[in-house]
Amino acid sequence: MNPRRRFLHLLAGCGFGWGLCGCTFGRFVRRNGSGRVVVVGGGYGGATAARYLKLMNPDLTVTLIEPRDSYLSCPGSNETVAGLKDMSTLVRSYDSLRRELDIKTVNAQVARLDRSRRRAVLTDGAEVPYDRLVLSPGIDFRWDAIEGYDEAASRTVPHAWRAGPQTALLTRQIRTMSDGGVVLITAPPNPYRCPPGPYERASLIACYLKKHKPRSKILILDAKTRFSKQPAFEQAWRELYGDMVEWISSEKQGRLERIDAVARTVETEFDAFRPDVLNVIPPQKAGALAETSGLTDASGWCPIDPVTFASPYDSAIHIIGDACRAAPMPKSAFSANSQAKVCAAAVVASLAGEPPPQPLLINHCYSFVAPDEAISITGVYGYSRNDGQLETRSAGETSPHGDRLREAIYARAWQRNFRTDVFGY
Amino acid sequence: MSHQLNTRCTFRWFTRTAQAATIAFTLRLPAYAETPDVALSSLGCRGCHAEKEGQENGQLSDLASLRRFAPGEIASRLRDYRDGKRSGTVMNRIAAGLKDGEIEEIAGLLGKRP
Ligand SMILES: Cc1cc2nc3c(=O)[nH]c(=O)nc-3n(C[C@H](O)[C@H](O)[C@H](O)COP(=O)(O)OP(=O)(O)OC[C@H]3O[C@@H](n4cnc5c(N)ncnc54)[C@H](O)[C@@H]3O)c2cc1C
Repeated sequence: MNPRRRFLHLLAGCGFGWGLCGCTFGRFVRRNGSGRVVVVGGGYGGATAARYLKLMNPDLTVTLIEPRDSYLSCPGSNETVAGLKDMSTLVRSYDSLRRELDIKTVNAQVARLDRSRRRAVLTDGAEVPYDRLVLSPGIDFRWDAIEGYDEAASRTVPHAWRAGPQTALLTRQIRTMSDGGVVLITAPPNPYRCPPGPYERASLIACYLKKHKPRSKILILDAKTRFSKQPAFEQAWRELYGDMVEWISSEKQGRLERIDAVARTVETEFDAFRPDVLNVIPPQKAGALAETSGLTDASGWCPIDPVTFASPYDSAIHIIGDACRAAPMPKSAFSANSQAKVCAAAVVASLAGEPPPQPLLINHCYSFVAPDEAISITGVYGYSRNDGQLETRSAGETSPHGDRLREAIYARAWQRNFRTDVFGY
Repeated sequence: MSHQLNTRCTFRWFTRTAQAATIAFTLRLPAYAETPDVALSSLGCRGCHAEKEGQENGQLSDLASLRRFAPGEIASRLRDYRDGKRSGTVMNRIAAGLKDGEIEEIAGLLGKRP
């Protein structure tokens, strides 16, 4: 059966719905493509890749290496900061991947990749051999980019750009701030994880403050001159929060010069601020392991082939999610999920000695502007054979007068369904 | 796309591009299929319309219920979204990225099974 037919059968032929039913599903899988695939990073990219690798070829030995025993979702974490949700709602378990799909999970951090011997070396020295490695380490911060803002500073001035203790710290600071206080969020230059994220955060903090500390103010000090879903965000801010949220373009303030985490001050080229709560979202780069393994380029991100997500530096390693450079796709959980499926299909094909199928990818991101109001941005991306890159087939975002109530219903449904698609429960 | 077809397409593509003056550049590009694999593309839809094997969507929310619809119905909705005959929130924007043949095949993969 040719590869494309095989895929169609794989998906449509299975009477139980596509998935777990190994025997039925397996009927459509060529068993000539077994191999050991190691997935590093159990976030949205890595967990999706592990799950789909096993769904596409149950014969593969798939090992997921992740230091935390459960994942904490960034999507939803801005709602936590605004007190709309408990942190426990962000937890995602690996149980279903382990139990239902027989994915091996290794609770450890990969210290380095021994690329010539194709082994992932863990911090305790143990080695995990692979035929193909899928790397989805997410982001790291450029701690040298803003004077005065390093990892130590982030312990009192949170970034909250990875869910966990940082989210809890920012939540606490917002909670204990007095009425009339100023919250200042610094938004980073492109590209970074979740382009609309800082503005969703500002919206939801505004929602909390309006109710509990109505004389307060939120400033967004931006390294950019415009931002994702800007017209819809600005319309929502006007309607819902009056002048509580103020966005300050880099045109107005110039560069962010330095931060003093102890005095809690921010200096720009033209001004200085002393907010009551300071949330610095620093400039970013690919997760450290990608960099130390020689998989990044001068941009700090990993170049990839957009059909296979393989590294141009190492054909046995595929990089997906925030760490890879898949422009024009934004760095989002949805993009990571879409890329993971394409990558899984390419890995399965390559282990079977077949050419990879050509992808269409999707990104679709919701941002809440209030507990029951959301806006979104969408893109469909195809592969351009002319330049070997992804190209946007269609793109769009919620209009300033879009149906935000309806989108919020879908946004909630997305959070649930997305968990199912990624973590299998 | 079959192996044979794939090779033929690739060959045609190669001769075409070889005639152009950019040989050195295009030679570096891998010879991938000419059109997207629809089955793989349909997996992108599952980021919202997730499907849990064996559950037939029973326990998932409304967004996921594509298996309830006949493929023809999904296809005509997608076309209407794309052509602006039906208004939605996000589906107009997504459908705008799909071509006719793709819509039919994707609907067939996501819809009710015979
Ligand atoms: C506030 C906020 C809100 C967001 N909201 C949305 C949203 O609504 N929708 C959306 O689509 N996206 C959203 N995002 C973006 C989304 O969180 C990321 O794009 C997504 O998590 C990227 O997935 P990833 O797999 O690349 O990285 P991650 O999800 O960060 O996963 C990386 C994993 O790799 C592990 N890891 C790293 N290094 C190693 C190592 N050496 N060894 C082993 N494991 C390692 C980490 O522990 C981590 O679990 C949001 C982000 C933020 C910050």
